[in-house]
Amino acid sequence: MKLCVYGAGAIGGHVAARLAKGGAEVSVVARGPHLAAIQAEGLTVHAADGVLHCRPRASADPAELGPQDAVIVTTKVTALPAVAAGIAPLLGPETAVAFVTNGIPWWYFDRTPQEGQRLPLVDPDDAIRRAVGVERTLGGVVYSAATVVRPGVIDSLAPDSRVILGELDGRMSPRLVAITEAIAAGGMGGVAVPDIRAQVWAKLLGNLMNGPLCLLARATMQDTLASPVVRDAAIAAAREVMAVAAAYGYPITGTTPEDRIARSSKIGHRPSILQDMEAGRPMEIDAMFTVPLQLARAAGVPTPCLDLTIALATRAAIGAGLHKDTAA
Amino acid sequence: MRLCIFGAGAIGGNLAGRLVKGGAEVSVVARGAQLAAIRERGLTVRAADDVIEARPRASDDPAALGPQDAVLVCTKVPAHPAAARAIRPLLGPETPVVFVTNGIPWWYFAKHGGAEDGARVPEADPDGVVWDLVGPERAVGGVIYSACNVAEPGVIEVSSKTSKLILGEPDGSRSARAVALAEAFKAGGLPCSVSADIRTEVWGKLLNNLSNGPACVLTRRNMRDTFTDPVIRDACVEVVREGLAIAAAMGRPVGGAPEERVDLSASIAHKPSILQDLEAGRPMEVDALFQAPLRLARERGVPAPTLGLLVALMAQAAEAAGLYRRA
Repeated sequence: MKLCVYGAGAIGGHVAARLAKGGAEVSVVARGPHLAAIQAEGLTVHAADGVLHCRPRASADPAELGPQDAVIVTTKVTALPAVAAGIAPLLGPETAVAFVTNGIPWWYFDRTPQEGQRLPLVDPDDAIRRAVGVERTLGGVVYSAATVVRPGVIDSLAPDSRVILGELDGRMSPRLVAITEAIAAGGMGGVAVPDIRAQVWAKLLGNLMNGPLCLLARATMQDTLASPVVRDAAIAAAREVMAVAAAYGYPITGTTPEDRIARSSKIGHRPSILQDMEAGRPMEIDAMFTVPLQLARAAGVPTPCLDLTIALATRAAIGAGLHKDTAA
Repeated sequence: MRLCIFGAGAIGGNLAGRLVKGGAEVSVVARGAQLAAIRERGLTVRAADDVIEARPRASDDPAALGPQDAVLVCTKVPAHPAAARAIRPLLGPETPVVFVTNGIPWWYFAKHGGAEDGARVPEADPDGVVWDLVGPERAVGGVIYSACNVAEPGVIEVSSKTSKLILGEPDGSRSARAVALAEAFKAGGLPCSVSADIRTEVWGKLLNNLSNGPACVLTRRNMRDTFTDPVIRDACVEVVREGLAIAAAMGRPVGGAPEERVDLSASIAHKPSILQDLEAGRPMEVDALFQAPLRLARERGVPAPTLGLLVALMAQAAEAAGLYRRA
């Protein structure tokens, strides 16, 4: 199977290494020093089950890689306009494109009764919609605490890394099964699900209950949640996300806000959006924060705790020059 | 009148310039680049009404300056214990010490009357050093309204159109020493009054700090940019409301609509001093400004959930920056 990982950063690099290990014909679209390192020395991933090394084809120019059986997009949401501009040479008539991105995705309402409702903040000018199209699109969510330790070298030591994919209409299609099996063949979780939107909300719960608070405290989840006042706010935020998810038909079951926060408060990890801020990278404020709040407003679900912490975090992101002031 | 300003940062430099202009015999205790600049080029205060060029005596060694008629401590609160130790050569038997500070001052319950008379404020004076070395007899309260910053060593820029200083004795008396100091400032063009209720003035100023400080530290932006978002503006109105309730529970009701207070701040592109401290890597006055009023609220059963959350997050950010350690 010919697979291209578009955006071979920490997550994309890990996925590419798993695909290679599983025997797929893998290429990656990458940039800068990371690309140079992959071209020169290949890609190395330090994972819980050992060190993976592979030499995928790598280029900044998709035209050099040609049409694929499937493309797995693992860029930040903020990079999607650039993906839209570059992806065409990778697409044959049947090529599937799996978007493994954070936050509420651009395709959220497609193949649902709300078909036609758009989310311009995560796909300005319908750029991705026009470049890829809904037919090709699969949704995805990833759990993998990964970091690029130096160009070409990725640490991903959490034992339960997994990519969860689903068709927008919930079918367990052959392409969905083929892609997830290709990932699983390399020893990472590859899971096909009939309700990818439920997975989107479940992942968002983690992002929203911790993300804004850790951004404001500029600290790990463990340090941030050490304050009882902040822990209570995180529980309130989790409750608000769960209410919004339920209002959209995806109740998050099998956990309570208190349990989730208790688990988070043991993790000395900086949420990715805080890592982005500290590294001066564009922040996925819209996909992870702004759009979920827009959905909450549209559903009439009050989210006072998120409203305030997200407003403050958004101002901080604007001030750092890492987010465009969309209200202005 | 021999007057010494201890801590010639933005506020201290501003006050020193006014006192020199008013004709007092002024010295300043400063350090580092600020001291070097004042010694070489004097002190410049650029205010809306005046540009003052002053040449006060300047030293990093109080012993070189000798006993004063009054000392004004203008350092940040975390530096008060060190100041209390350092100013001893400046003190004659009667020398009053004015603490021009933000937050709940160490002397708050001195000569307070009632059940709490004599209670300490550990957030402002953790080991009681200031109380023990300076003592309530010398203490005069000082509350300043002046948005200013050190533009470069030796140069203070005042961005508020007007400034004012309010002095007050902990016992509320209109003392000769407080009146004399107020006259010295007025002679330099700085409006200065002696209040019979300095604690109410402390709360009045503190409400501004509560409204602006935590939110601007969290956004790292000036007040105008921070309050652009109506959600933040409304939360800070709520914070002011909580602060007013705390002040009232302390027996110091402060007037004014919370909305007006926040909207006035929202019109100014000024960074609160605690944000300036964060950006400059100086110790942050989290305890005296924020933890003390929250403790007083808890002790009196006054709920302050919005303030409590913003302060908790700000305290963590301050700690993450290495500029604060939670007690």
